[in-house]
Amino acid sequence: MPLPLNLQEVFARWPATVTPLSAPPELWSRITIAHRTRSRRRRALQVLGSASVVLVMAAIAVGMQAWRAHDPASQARINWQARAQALELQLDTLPLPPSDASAAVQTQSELARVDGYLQAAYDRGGAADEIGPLWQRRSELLDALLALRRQQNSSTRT
Amino acid sequence: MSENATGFARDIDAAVLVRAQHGDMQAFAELYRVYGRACWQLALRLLGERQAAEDLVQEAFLKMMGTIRSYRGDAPFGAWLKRLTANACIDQLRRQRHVAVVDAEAMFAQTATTQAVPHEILDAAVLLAHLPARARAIVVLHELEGYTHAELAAWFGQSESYSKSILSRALARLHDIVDNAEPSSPQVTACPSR
Repeated sequence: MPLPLNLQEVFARWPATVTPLSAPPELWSRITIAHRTRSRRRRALQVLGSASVVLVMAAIAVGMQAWRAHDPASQARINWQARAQALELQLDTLPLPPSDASAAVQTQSELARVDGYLQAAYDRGGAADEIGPLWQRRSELLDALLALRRQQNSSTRT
Repeated sequence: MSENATGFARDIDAAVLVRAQHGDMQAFAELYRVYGRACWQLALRLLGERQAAEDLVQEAFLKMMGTIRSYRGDAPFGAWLKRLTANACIDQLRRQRHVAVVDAEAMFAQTATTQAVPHEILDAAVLLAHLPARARAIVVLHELEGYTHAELAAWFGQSESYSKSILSRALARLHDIVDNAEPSSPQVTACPSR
């Protein structure tokens, strides 16, 4: 007898009665239970993941605060430096008076001196506790100079 | 839904797919009602064991539920699900190292040649269970599910001639089994799942 050319011919010669291939009736409920379990697990992992992120961020924030609290020089340097830069911008917006008052001249020369100290400190790789007070002094001088300029400008207009 | 089509060839209402893509469990239940049996048949024929087929169908449906959002409708949904199921079956056979043997001689030698087949309750899956796993997969995917030798070659990382050779040997093996079985009433239907 020649070999069958395809599976249908083999099946046609198969001497058994074929029982219909049906999936077990409980299979769908098994699938839905597994789906629900996995979804719950996935949601729990998501919540856990989000909580972990929040916890890590909170820990970092607390750590940063603690670090800042223990490093006042660094905190001061950052604040005074930013403040000095902001004051300098404000000063630039004011019109220059025809002639500076002597107080303004004194302030400007001290400002130049502080700038020199700052430059030297940075060149030396100075520590925060050296640089911080210089930025603070620079900020105070700029504050004073700003007040003097405003006063001069208002008296010039009147 | 087309009335005449069977198995994976059955159509599904687009609205059901949209609802399924939004995670609607009733839509998933409808997909199972339409395609569950075809998935089960394919898994049973490829894996040859009822328990393994049940586990596989469960995994395939869970995977489908998780990835249905990526279904874009380029192919009919049944074909998409069939490929997903067949992929899952072949992955399972790979994990169990059933498809590790590449040499055709060695593969067929590993499975006893012609065994006495019990006649009480038989179906196509029982007949196919007499084949080595890779040969069974090639027979089912080519003869029942309509995949080409080129597709099977790509699936198994072999040449087309290798796939043809395995198919020919597998059909010869089945032919021997049928010859050795006791004759009785031949009321067999192949129950193709497509």
